Amino acid sequence: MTNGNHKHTESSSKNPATLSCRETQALISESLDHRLQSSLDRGLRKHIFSCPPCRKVYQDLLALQALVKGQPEDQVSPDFMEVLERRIASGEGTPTAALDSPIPLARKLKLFSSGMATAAALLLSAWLVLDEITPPPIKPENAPIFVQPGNQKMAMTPGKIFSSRVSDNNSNIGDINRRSFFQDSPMSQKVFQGTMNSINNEKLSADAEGFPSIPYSRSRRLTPLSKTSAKTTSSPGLQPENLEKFRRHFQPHTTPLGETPFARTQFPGDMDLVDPSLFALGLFKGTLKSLEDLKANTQRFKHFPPHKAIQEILKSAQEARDCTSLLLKLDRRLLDLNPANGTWLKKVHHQLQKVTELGTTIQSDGKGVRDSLQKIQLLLKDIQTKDALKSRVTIRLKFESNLRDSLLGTGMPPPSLQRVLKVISRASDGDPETPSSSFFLFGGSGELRIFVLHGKQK
Amino acid sequence: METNTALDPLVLAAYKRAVREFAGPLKGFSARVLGPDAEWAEDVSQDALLALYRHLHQIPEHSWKPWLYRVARNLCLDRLRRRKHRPRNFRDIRDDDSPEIAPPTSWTQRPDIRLQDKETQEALEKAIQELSPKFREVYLLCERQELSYEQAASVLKIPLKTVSTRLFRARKKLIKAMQPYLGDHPHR
Repeated sequence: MTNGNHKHTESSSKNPATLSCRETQALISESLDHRLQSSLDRGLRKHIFSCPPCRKVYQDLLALQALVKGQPEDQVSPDFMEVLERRIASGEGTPTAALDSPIPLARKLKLFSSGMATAAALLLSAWLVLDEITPPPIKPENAPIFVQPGNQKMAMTPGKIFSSRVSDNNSNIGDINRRSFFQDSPMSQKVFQGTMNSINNEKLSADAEGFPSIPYSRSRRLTPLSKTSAKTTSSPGLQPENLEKFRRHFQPHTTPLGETPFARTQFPGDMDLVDPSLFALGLFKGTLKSLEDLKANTQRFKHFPPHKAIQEILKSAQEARDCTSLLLKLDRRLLDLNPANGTWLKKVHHQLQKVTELGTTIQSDGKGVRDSLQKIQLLLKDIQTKDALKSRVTIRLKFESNLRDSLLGTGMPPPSLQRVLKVISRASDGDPETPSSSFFLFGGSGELRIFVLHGKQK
Repeated sequence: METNTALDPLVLAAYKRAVREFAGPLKGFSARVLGPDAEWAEDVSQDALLALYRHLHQIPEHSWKPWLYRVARNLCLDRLRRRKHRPRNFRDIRDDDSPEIAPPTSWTQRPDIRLQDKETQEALEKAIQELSPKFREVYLLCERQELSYEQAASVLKIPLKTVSTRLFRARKKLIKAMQPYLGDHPHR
């Protein structure tokens, strides 16, 4: 939740190309908290990937973070609120120690010694001055008059210093939760290994249920950013309106993504096990599947009453449009689709928009249902998925932007995002190649978390 | 001013939300700062929230979180200071019969997993307690309570860079202490 205005403070001056192991290890901690500039973060990760000792530190820190996140939340007693309300109603005041920050002993000694030094200096100067101005013969009864001011100073000086220390300045502190938006996507050992393997094996193929395999290549993990993406902020999720939106929408401990083959309690880490490339591939496959479903539905509901058919088709079209929309929004932010796929996607998205527009006009006036249905069917006929299935999908991940931030940064409404994740979940279910079998999106303690569970259910 | 006779209903609603959100975490933070005196943690949490109520008109809503932690820390340190002068005539029951710091996540878990989780939890709590106070405070605020570096710096009144350094050192110490458990962790 690091506030963007405050991050990148001291470490930003370091040159990522010349990082030593010692510097790297010191920076890993900051990197986990998303406090590094993207260029430095990329340099750091390059070093981590190529240096086993630093990688070990990185993995240890990730594992520790996951362990801490997995600990149960602290609870108060059931009557806590009741007692608090009673205390408020009784007019009980603020405990005195609450606002009075204690001074460490070392500082006390320092203050005391500085006070004593001031007093001694004053006494000395007073003595010297008095020594000069005082006439040699002095009556004993007049002596206190000259001594008194010096004594007062000695008594007051430390007091003044001590009283000025309690000023408490807590203003202008942002309260955006750092972890809720900037927590990295910690990779498990498995994902990490998978990533390393995929760097070595450039080509991966994935076969969705009932789908021909999509040639899928993954560009090197540490690709330089394209010019346009380099200009975008590294953390698009840092938008308070998004935070509020998600907080409102996601209630604690809900799992809106339908069937969950894994019980959440088996994964107490509350961590993101997200490999963005798998997510991107899943999203692409999910989009294709939703388009196929949409076309199938158009055929299936041919003999249905037009109203019913329109309803069902629109439902599928909306799902497919959410997928294309997210894919387009993530393109160049998190991933780079190859130009051919990008053009195709834009065309399909345009068609789907037309379909949903037609649907909404029918719903509003209820006229010309048959004509509109025919138009929708014609529009959907134009959507070709065969070429896309055969074409090569290149997913180029950008390191400075993690999946969660990217998803939040798209500004998609949560229901749409949920629909898309359901589609991905459906598409990857039973997929022998893709290790991620289920995607989950829910807000434990009001945060957006994305879970990709690897491996099959036993 | 210690009274809030005419509070804005929106502020009041936000306060109630804050109580629900922060009561538990404040208790957890206080318990770990107080160490052996953790039985006072809930009182500290309640005192901090009471103090917030009395100062609602002075503290902007976005500053509530660091303000509460600062107050809780002050109260904890006050308790610890007073404890030094308090005779301890009775044996500390907590040492012998320490209750669980927090309830287990779910009773539907398998007993062996539950036991393993409990052991890990205890080891982690012990490792956190073994950190020196200055590292522990930074670690708890930044990692456990999820405050930003800036907020932690304002709570502890230390420079930003010091927060970063202490956090890294605390993490390194914890990794050393928790090494056996990190190896077994399912996410690795």
